[in-house]
Amino acid sequence: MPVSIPNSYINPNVRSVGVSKLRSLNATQLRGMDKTLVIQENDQPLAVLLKYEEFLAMQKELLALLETQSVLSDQEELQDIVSGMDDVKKGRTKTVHEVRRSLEKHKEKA
Amino acid sequence: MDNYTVNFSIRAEAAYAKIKKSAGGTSLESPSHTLLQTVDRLIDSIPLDPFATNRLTSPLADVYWVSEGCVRIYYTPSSEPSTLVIIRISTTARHISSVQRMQAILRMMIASGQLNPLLVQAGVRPSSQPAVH
Repeated sequence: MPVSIPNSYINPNVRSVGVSKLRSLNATQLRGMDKTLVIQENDQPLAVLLKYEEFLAMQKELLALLETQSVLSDQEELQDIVSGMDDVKKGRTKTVHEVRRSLEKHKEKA
Repeated sequence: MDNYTVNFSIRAEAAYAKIKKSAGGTSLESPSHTLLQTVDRLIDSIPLDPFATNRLTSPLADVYWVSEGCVRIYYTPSSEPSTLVIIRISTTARHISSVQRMQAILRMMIASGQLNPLLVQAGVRPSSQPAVH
């Protein structure tokens, strides 16, 4: 069930407007839009209009949360990452160039 | 022009060597060779703009990743200047149930209020509203 959020609660950059506002928006106004608009009818929120950059930023945050959760719930993945961080601290690393060269040499010998 | 050196951690080096070995002697069209090409392409893309890509969140906020298809490569900056270290190469696709599980966990995190600061910042949850159960 959708939760209705009173305007006063919301971030100051969020403004509630009626559906009719949508009709008055053109590309220039959308480009210059500095607020997130909650489109509503009869005080019922129906949709949210936000800058595309903000939408992308929110998607990126969500993706980061999901990926982090996924890593944390996968023992093998987590162990590799923790062990890798430890290698970084202790300087137990080799350059990609060095590893590739070594593997190529090994391949030539075989 | 990139100015970063990219290193492997011990396990990442082993994973890379295994992928390289699997591709050795196979045709250019083989899945093993395609996998190696994808891994190499991703590795080479890292130093181009290493911090503009995806970043994990706390407690793994120092870890970045690049991905293509089922390949995901995680890396982190080293304390050495302009050095990045690949710490994990994953070549297994996320199982659909894992994605569903992650979404279920995310829903629980939202419902429990753990993500309230982030949601308030994004303007989609009131700062004083109780969590939705």
